[in-house]
Amino acid sequence: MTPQLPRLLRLAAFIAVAVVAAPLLSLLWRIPWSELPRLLSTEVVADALVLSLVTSLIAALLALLIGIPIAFQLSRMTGISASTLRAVATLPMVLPPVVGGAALLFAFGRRGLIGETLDNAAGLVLPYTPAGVVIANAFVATPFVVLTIESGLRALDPRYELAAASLGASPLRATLRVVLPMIRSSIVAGAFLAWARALGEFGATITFAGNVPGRTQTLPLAVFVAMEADRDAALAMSLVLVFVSLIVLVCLRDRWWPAK
Amino acid sequence: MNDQLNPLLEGRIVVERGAFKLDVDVSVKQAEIVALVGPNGAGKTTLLEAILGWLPLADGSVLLDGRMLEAHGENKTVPTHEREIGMVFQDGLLFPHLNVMGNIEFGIGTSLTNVSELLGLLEIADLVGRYPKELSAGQRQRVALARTLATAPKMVLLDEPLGALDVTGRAIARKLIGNVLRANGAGALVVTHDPADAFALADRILVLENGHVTQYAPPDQIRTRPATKWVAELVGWNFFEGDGNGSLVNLANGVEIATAHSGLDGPVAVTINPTAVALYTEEPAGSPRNSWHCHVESIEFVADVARVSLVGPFDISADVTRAAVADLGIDTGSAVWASLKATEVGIQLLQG
Amino acid sequence: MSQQSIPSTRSMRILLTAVTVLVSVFLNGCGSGSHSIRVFAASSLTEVVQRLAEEYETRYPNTDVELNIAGSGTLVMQLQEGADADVVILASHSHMNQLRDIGLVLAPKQIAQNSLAVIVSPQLTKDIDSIDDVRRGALQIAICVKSSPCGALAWAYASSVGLNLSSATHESNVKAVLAKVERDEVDVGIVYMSDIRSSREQLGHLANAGADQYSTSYPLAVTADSKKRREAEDFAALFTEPVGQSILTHFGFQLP
Repeated sequence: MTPQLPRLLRLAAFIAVAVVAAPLLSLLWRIPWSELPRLLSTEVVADALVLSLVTSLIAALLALLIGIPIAFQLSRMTGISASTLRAVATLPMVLPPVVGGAALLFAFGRRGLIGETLDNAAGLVLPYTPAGVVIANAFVATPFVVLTIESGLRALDPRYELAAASLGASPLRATLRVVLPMIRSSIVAGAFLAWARALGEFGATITFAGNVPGRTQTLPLAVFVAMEADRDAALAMSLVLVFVSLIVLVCLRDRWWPAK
Repeated sequence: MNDQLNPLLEGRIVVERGAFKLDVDVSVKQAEIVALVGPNGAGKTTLLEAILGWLPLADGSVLLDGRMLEAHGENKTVPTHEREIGMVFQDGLLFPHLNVMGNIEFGIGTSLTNVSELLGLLEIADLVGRYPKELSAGQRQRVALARTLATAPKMVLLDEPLGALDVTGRAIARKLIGNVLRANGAGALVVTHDPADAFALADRILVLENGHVTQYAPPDQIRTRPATKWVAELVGWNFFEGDGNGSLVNLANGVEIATAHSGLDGPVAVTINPTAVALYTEEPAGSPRNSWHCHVESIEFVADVARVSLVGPFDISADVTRAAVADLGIDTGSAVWASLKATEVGIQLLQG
Repeated sequence: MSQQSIPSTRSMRILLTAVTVLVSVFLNGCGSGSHSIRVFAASSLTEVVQRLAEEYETRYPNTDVELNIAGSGTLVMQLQEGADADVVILASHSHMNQLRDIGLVLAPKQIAQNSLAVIVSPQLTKDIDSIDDVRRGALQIAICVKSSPCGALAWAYASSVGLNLSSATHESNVKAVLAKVERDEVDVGIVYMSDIRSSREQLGHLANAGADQYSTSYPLAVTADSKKRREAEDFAALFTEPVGQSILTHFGFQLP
C-alpha cells in the first residue's frame, strides 16, 4: 500500500487541479453543442485545421532533424560550454513567442539578415507562406526535442558504444544501429512534445508568418480572429484544438520518461 | 603466417587518469591466455580500455601482430573499431533491442559458418530468437562471448566474464570459456578477481597492483613463488618481509626465521606454504629453530582441508587435515605450537 | 484504519475562507481606481486619445486617464465579457450597436470620421503609383481582420476595384497593418487617412485609388454602469471643444 499524502498536500492538489481545470470546464460549458456540425463545416475551419495538422507535423520532423544533432553534441559536453549551448538551444522555449517571431523576422524576413539574400538570390520569401509557419513552429518546438533527447543520451551507459566499436562498428554505424534504437523512447517523447507545441503555437506564427486565411491562418490564429467576429465559431474551433491536444497527450502517456 | 615466436600483443602502456598512473609492459603470445589479476583499483579495466584504444596513451605504444596500433607522439592512431580486438564485458552488455541472433551477427566480419559453429560450441543454438532480458546471467555471458568471437578478432579481452555467475555456474562456464578460447586460437586477456578462474584458464598470470606489474609468470610459479604480499594472499600462502642475515631472516616484529639458505643480506621476502606449517599441542621435542607459541584465531574448512589462522609473535596460517584438527582437539582460542622446517622457507630477494 | 478523503469541516472552512480572501484581494486590483477613469478606444484613435488624455489630466489634475487601446472588435469582446470602462470610442456604428443592444452604453454621439487609404511601402513608392500596379503585381498586401471596421471597409473597397485579397495577411488592428508597411514587411496596406498622418516613414499613398470613397465614423459613448459619470462626460466633451477638434484634424480625421 503506497503511503497516503498528508491531508494538507491533498487539499492543495485538489485546489490546484480545480484551478487548472476551471478554464477548460468553462470552455466546455459555453460550447453551443447543437451548433457544432454547422460551425465546424465552414471553409475557414477546414482550411485552418488542415493547415495546422500539416504544418505542425512537418515542424515536428524539422525540430527532430535540428534537435537530434544538438542533443548529441550536448551529451558529450560538460561545464560552461555545455551550459551555454544548452541555454542557446532552449532559448526559443523561454522567449515570449512574439519575441521569437520578431527575431525570426529579423533573420528571415524580407529585409532580414538572411531573408534579404534569399529574396534577392532565389526570390524566396518565407513570411506569409506555409513554409514560414513551419519555420516559426519548428523554432519554438526544437528545445523540447533537445532536452528530452539529451537526457535520454546521458542516461545511456557509454559502454554500449565501446561494445559496438569493439565489434568493428564505426562511430556512424554505432550511432545508427545502437545508440538511436536504444533512445527510441526519448525520440518519440521529444517528437510528440514538439508536435503538441507546434500545434498550439500562436505568437511566433502571427508575427513571422502573418495571418493569411488558407495559407498561414492556423487553428489558433483562426480562433483569435473568430473571437471578435463569431464567438461560437471560436468556441467550436477551440474544442477541436483541445481534442487534438488531448489525443497527442494520451499517445504520449508514459513515454514522458525516457528511462523506460 | 602466424609466427608462433612473435608476440601477438606487445606494448608499453602508460595511462594517466587523474592522480592514478598506469605503467605496464605487456605481451601476449599467439593463442595464449593471460589472466589479469590484482586488487580493486589496480587499473585492470583501465588497461583493457587502453589496449582497445578507448583511452589515449600518455606514453608508450601498442602493437598487435606486428602492426602499430598507437604510439605516443605518433599521429596515426588506429581507432577502436579497426583494431580487430574484441571485448566481452562483465554483464555481457548485449544490445537490448536486438535478439540473440541479432547481437551475434552485429559485428563486422561475421559469417554464417563461424556463427553456427559458435552457437554449437557455446550451447546457445536454441536461444537465438530470445531477447537479452529473457536470458539468465550465464546465458547472456555465453551470447556475449559468441558475439565477440563471431567477428574473428585477433585478440579477445574479457572483463570479469564470470563475475555475474554463481559458484556452480562459474565452474561450468569456466570450462566452456576455456575450451572455446583455446579452440578459437586468438590470444586472450582475461580480467578476473577469482584465483580459481586464473589458475584454471591461464597460461600466464599478470599481476597488476596500483598501476604496475608486480609479477608476470605461469600459474605454477605464481603459486610457489609469490612475489608480493597480495599475490601470496591470492594463492593462500604466508608472506613476510624482513632483513636477511646469513641464513636467518629477521622480521619487522622481532621474529627470527631460520632458513636453508646462506649468505643472505639485505631486504628479503619470506614465503611459506601453509601446508608446511605443523601444529602441536605441546612444545615440540628438541625445540626446532622455527617454532612459535600461538593462539588459534579462526579455523576455515574447505573440502578436506582446514585453514587455521594463528596469531602470536606473528600471524601465520597453517593448512592441516580435518582429521588433524579433531586429533589435536583445537578450536578458536586454543593455544598451539606452530613449527616449520628451515628447508620449507622460501626466499625471494627484494630490490633495496 | 479509517481513511478520510475529505479534510474535516472546520479546517476546510478556514482554508477556503483564507483562499477566498487572498483571491479577492488579488482580483480587486481590476476596478478603476478611486481617482481615474478608464477609456477604451479604437486603435486608429491612438494618437488623438493620448493627446486628449494629457489635456484632460492637465485640466483635472485629480483624475487620471487609463487608456485601453485595441481593435474595435477586441474592445467589444472585452466589454461583452464584463470588462470595466467609463468611456468607449469605437470605429464603427455597427460595433457600437452591439454594445447598445445589450444595454452596456448610453446614447453614443459621433465625434469624427475617417476615410480609407491605400499605402505603399517606402521601398516601392517609385514603382507603384496606381491601383492598377497593385492589381497586376504579385504584391503582399496587409489589411485589418474582417471583423474590424477597417477590415470590413477594405473588403468592400477591394471588391469594388477588383483587387484580389486571397493572399493578404489579416492583422488584428490598423496600427499593425501600418507597422508592417512601414517596415517593408508587406508591400501594400489598406489603412485610414489618419494613419498616414501619424506615420513617421515616407510611405507612398495612392491618392487616386478611390479608397477615400469608403469611410467610417467614430461613435463615443459613456458606459451605462460607469461610477464616474461626470468625469466621463467631461472627457467626452473634450472631443467637441476646439482643442479636441484641432487635434482630430491635425491627425487626419474629418469632423462629423
